Amino acid sequence: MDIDIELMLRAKSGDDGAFSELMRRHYRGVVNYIYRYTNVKENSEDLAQEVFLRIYRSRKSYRPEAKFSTWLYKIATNVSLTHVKKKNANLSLDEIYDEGGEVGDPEIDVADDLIYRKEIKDVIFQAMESLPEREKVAIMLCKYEGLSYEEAARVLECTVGAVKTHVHRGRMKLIDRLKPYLPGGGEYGM
Amino acid sequence: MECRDCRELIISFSSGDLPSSGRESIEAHIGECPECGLYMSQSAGVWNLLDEWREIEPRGDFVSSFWDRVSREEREPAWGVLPRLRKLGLSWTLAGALASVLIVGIFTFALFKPDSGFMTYADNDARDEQILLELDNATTRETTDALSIYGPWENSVQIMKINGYGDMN
Repeated sequence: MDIDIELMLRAKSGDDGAFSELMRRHYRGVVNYIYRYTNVKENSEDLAQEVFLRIYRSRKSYRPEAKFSTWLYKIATNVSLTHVKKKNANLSLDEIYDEGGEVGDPEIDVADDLIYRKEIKDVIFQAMESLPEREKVAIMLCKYEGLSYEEAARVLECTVGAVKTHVHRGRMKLIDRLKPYLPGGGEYGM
Repeated sequence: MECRDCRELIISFSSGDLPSSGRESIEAHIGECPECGLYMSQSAGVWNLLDEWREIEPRGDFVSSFWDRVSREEREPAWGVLPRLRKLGLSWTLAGALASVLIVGIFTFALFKPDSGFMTYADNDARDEQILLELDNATTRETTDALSIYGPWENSVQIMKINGYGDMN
């Protein structure tokens, strides 16, 4: 049996230690997924805890029907999306993009490499943010979280073919938007 | 192979998901189409560029602070109806069953409550039937009166009266 499913079943029967182990296995991925989704470092751990809290509260009704990670990232996507929607209702786009929290730190300003990282991070975030939601999530799951097309399809509740199409279309748009940052970026026709 | 087909297959090509025949036809197309060749290198380039957005390192006390949060939330009183219901440990099935019983109860009470002011369906039906009977009788009377001009008549005076000439004298 899949180790995550086994741990979740133990957590269901009241073993909190098993749930801790489950978190240790996945919290890093969930924190980073939320960080990349929201581009806000400070909130990502709180939101990741919210994801695990939802799972913990519903552990009694858990049924091992699918891979644990697909369930986990489905909840993480919902939590991130809800957070972004709430935030967008209160902030302008410029304010959202400026929330890296790293510019202005004297130790970072002197390091060119870190300035580049900050810039490229924001550029990638803005390019990803401009994609339709499903293309963005499909690319994040497949590229950053290492999910297979089949697993991403379960998170997005669509077919494997649809995930491939989302990734392909998203990738084409990213080429357009990130062209200045690509090595030897030129024009291509369609 | 068309350029559009080639570009759709390039991701599968790069990840080695294509059968050998598919790989060969893509390689042949890219060999003679510089635009698709450029697209392929850019597609790989953009995928690699995404790696430049590095991971962050979460705090080491993530798990322990999670349990702190759980115990804190369990200690805090739950405000509002939903948290209270959640604390009762009601399952969705039980909650649905309770809601159904409540709805049926309200409906039954409204239907059979004495002196409620609501008309029952039976009352309405009886009243409607009475109205229809009166309408039917009225229609029959009017039809009979209207047809009486065609006879049979006993004399011509009666005909004149019917046609409104009777008062002329």
